[in-house]
Amino acid sequence: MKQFSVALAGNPNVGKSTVFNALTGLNQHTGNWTGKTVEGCAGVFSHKEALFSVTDLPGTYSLSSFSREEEVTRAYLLEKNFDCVVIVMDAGTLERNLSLALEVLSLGHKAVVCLNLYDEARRKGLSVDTKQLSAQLGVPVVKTCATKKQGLDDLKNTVLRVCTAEQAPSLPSFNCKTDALLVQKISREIALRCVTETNEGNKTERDRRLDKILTSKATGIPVMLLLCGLLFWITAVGANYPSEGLSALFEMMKHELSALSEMLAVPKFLSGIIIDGVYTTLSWVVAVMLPPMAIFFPLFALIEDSGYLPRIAFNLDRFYYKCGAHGKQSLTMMMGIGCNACGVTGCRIIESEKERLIAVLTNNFMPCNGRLPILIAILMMYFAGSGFGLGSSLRVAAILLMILVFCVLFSLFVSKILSLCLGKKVPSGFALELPPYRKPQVIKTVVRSFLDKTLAVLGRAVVVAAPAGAVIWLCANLQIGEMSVLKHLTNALDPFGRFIGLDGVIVMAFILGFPANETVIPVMIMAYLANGTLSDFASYEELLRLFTQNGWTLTTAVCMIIMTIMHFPCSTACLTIKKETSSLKWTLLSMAIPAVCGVALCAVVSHILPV
Amino acid sequence: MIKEINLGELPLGKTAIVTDIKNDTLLMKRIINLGVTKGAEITPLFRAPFGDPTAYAVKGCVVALRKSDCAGILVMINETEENSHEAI
Repeated sequence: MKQFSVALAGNPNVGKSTVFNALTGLNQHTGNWTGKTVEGCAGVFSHKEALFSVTDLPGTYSLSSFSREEEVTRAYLLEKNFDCVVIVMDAGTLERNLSLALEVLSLGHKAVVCLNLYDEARRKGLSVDTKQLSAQLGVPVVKTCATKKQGLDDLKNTVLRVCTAEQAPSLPSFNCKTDALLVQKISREIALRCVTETNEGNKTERDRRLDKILTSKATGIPVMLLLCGLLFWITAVGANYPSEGLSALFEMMKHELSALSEMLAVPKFLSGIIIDGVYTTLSWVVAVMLPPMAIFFPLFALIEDSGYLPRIAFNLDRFYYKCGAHGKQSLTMMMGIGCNACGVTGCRIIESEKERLIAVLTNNFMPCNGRLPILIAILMMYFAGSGFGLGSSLRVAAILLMILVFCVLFSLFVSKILSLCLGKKVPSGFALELPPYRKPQVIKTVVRSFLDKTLAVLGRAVVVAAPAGAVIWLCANLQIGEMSVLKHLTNALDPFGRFIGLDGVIVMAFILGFPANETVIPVMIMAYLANGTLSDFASYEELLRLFTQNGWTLTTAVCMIIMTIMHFPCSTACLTIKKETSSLKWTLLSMAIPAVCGVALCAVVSHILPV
Repeated sequence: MIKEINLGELPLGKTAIVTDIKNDTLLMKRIINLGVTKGAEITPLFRAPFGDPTAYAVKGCVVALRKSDCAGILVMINETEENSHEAI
């Protein structure tokens, strides 16, 4: 079988990842905004007895790269060996796409032009003469519509034909590396020759109407807050039902397991560590942490696909500008709500080194999906009022929204301080493309991100939560002198914990939660259970009773919320920060900043609040 | 009458042609790559809730730019045409 390697290159937002997915059958995450793909991604497909390995490169506007993710593309195209480059272009904005295409072509690789989003262009009232375009560029041109899987066979055939062809295509006689202005001029000429406007499309009309609602002075910010609130509300309400069901199921299985281990006369130590330690922690992570994530992520993915995220950056840029940060930081912060490690990697889209550093250091102030369920659980217990009706769920969503706004404001505040500390302001400006709104592929996106998230969380639960459960159980049951190891530890941490309105157990839970914040609450439960009497925590009410028994008050809950938002990043995020900054100093600082802020704020709050 | 002004001063909805763009910083290079090139038609579409940045239509795309960054971009408008528009 013949083997070929193919690279996918093109402007941001032309659907490279969608073409990649359609070709390889993989499920690389797609998103309708500049900078969704920041790292090259590889996959394979076979076609007519030939095997193709495909690399999806981050989108770039030109080969003279400015930001880190574009550097990936430039380095790949210049240095790697591959058989063919597929230049993905948006048929609707041909002229601008052409300048990159010309630059890539002038590198002298074999190439195929994939004219994607052809349906969208047609709706805009544009049609492209592909024969003419092919003649102008000297390479084959294929029309595709990757979301509908149209034109893919044609593309595969063409790629195969080009890969097996002997020589590189004859190139037009100009050198695009030298003169940017010349490239622009030629792009314009080619576009004029190839594009015909058939009729005045109404597609942009719809986009402008949406923009009027989503970005105008009167409605832009309120609509944004409402959308966020709705997102949280659906997450909080929707997660409640599967959580209850799963808890009941795990509870039942626990009884069966206990009965089984008694019947088999398993040593008490072994059954303790497995059932009370590992199993209980695992089931908690799955029952309480998983449902909110499994709901939040697909919804967030839909918003990503729609093209709304860059509008949020657009709306909020003024604030970021005032704080010496980059408007794109709001994009990386939103990714941080999903996962701080992703948010930190996403900071590559910020060109200026100083502003990128600020974005990296403050990303952890956004509560990631490992921490969001902790917040939901605390809010449900302490702020939802009685029962879990509509009113209380709305209240939880509203408080969550306020917490999020607080997080954003606080991270901006820290950004401002960092910006002042990091020396002279380098003006770097804001130039961001606002892509057309696109209808997300609802079912595919929802199913995919649901499955991805479920698997990821389950994987993490097994890798991190299970050992954590075993360790904590051991600590609670190994005695040194009169007391258990756990008691020694929590006693040692208790004075500090009390000072910041928490207790030794909570502080320890956060420390042990370093590998994954998902384990914070299960560790707390385990520690409390070792001291207390309760043996069943299937519901928030039971949990609330356990916490109250151990001296929790409203102040404890508030401080717990603050601590959840502001403490050191999890180990994965820390490693990512180390990788992205390649500096131990910044990594340590990124851990210290939120931790110090959290401790200080908790200390103040706990001494102000009456109860 | 043909007049040359700063892109930031162009009123919303008014189409102009880019006559000069500074090419001195990385940001300006990026703006050029986004399609704001000499000779391109550009139209301010809408502004962000706090008045800045502004979204511009250029070459079939929408690009958001801060007012301060528009300082290096000169555009040409046809004054008389504007007046006649206002008359209508």
